[in-house]
Amino acid sequence: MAILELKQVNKYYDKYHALRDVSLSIEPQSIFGLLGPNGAGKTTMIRIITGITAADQGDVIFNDKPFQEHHVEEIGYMPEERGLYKKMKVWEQLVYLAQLKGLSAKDAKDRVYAWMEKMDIKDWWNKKIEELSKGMSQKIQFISTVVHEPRLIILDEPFSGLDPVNSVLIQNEIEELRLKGATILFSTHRMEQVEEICEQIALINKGKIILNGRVKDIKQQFKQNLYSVELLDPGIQFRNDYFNVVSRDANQFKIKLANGATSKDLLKTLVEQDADVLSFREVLPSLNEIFIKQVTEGTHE
Amino acid sequence: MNKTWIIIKREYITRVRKKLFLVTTILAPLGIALISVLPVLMSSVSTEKTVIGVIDDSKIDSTGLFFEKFQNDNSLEFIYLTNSYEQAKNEYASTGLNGILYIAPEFNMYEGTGVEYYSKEQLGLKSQSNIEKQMSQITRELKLAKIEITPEIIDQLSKDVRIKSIVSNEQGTQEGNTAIATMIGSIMGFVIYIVMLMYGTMVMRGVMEEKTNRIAEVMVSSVKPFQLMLGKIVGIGMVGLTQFIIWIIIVVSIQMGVGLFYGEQMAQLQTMQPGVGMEQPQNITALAKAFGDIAQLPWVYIVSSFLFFFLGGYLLYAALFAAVGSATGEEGDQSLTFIVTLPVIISIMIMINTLEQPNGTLAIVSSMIPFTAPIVMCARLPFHPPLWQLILSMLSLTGGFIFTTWLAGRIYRVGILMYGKKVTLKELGKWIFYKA
Repeated sequence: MAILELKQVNKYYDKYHALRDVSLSIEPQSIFGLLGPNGAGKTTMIRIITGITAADQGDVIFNDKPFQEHHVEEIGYMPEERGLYKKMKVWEQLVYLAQLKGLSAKDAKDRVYAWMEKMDIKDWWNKKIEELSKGMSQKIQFISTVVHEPRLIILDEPFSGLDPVNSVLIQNEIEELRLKGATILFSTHRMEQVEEICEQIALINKGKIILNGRVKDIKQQFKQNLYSVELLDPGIQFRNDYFNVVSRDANQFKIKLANGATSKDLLKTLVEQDADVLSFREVLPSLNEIFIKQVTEGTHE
Repeated sequence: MNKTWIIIKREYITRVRKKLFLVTTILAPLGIALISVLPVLMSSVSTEKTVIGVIDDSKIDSTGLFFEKFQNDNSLEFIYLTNSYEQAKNEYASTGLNGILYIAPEFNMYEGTGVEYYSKEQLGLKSQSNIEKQMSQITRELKLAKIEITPEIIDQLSKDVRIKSIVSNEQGTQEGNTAIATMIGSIMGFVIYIVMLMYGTMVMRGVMEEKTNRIAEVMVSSVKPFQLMLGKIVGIGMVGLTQFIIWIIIVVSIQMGVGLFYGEQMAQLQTMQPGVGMEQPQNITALAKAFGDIAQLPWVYIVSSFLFFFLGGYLLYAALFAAVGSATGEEGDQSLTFIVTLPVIISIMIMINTLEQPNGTLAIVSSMIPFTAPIVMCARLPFHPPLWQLILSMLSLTGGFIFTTWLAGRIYRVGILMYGKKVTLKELGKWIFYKA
């Protein structure tokens, strides 16, 4: 069972094919990363999921049911380009947006209060948005995204413009929301965050999904049989046809195994030569590397 | 529907709460009223009187032609002196008089010569013309009496021919007043013109703000773009309506206040000047008749039709302005705005022609075109247009604003999420046919 499923979704703008047969499935209570270069179709995809625009072909299934208008109340969306009404007071703004997500006026006010108390920003209650700093209004924007307790939270570049302290704060809030049952869809360029936070990713380029799956699996899929070995005594010989030393930094070796060779073979060689092994680990490609490789390969096609 | 209502409420409340709204709604009409009432107030408050000594040596009759004939008012007071002109001039400084009006023995009423005014200070223009007028009037009566013509005959001679216009149509037969109809018609036409442009651009600016603030994207993830647009249009429309109602209340209460004030003054004026200002009572009756004619207009019919065209015209143009705002964003687009404004300006030009020929072909045709109907048909309302034309015009306007709202909705939903490039009319056309 998935909280959200896209099946063969296509979208055209005029003659431009913005999304091509996009399919993916997001498990409940997971953190899903949507990656892709600018113009790849991320925003279009998010707009289809949030019901802002509709797919030309294909199905959007929300919580096992075809997407319907009322589902927007179960989604919280924070766009990359943040926006609030500058002249409105903080609380009015938040209550207004919460009401549009289906909360009653009283309910909305109570929850807004609770959130502002939680984030320790009660003092801003009566301030106008235009009086707030960028970081402050980002917090308000975050509250507006989650105040109606959505089942699916979509965050487009949520950490851009946030200082490290607030970044961690938001990150913790996201984790807390996930534990309470929410599913988070992340759209970002920042790979290190994806590696850190997401369990599942989809890589989209030119309107097509070119990679989709668990982060662990994807890394395995793209591993290059690369090992990093640190030795006490650097005078060790490696059999060149099996082990290729890619780089060496003092006692630190990066060794690529030839096809057919395994980590056991490498360890055996080390043991046979009586080497003092300080560390031994497999080097998995970073998502960043995979991302760049896939995208540039895609463009060469 | 519920969410549209929430949007309407926000659009309405945030605007009505603004200081600018308070200023324009309450202070502007008060200011205008003050400026128009101020001169009257000031003239009635000013207590400084010019006291004039009159020496009449004309000896046309035993006491002097002008003896006790001048009318005192709150700025001029006449005292009749018996001493000689030379004597009066010498004593002038000590008498407290402002000046001496001297009618010499050689006074010639047919030439209007032989009158002097002696004083230290120049006589004010208003006072001088007042005295001249009074003297002319007195001599005129005398001259007329000499050739045995009574004021009544003069009155009859100077009567102009007046055409009584009788309008007969489905609503019955009534007496019409072309001048009043033209005045009321043009006022209503201009009011609609101002409303459509003022509130139309307010809608446009609101949409542009949402687009440049990027709040639009957050909003449309909760509500449909059409709800957002409609909420804005209706909310601002209600702001306009509120402003109008307040204005009407202020204007009516000021008029009632001033009416009481003037009413007393007028009554005073009439009792004070019997016979002298022969033209004035006539003016007053003409004015009274005009007020009577205004009161006799079918106001329920005019006001309700006016409100219909006010709202219809606003809805029609506000939708178009919203579409333009959504397509342009921050810096706006002069040419697109111009395209929307053009029919409004053309309407005003047609209206001016319509007031000359309220039932001409141009008037009838442009009443049936939704873009010109609000202004043109409104201007025609006091001219008793045939009922079928009114109904057809209303239907066409209704169809018109439904169409522009639909059209604007199609453009709006694409426009508010489209950033960066400048749009052409051709692209706008394409947007209309995009799938949602």
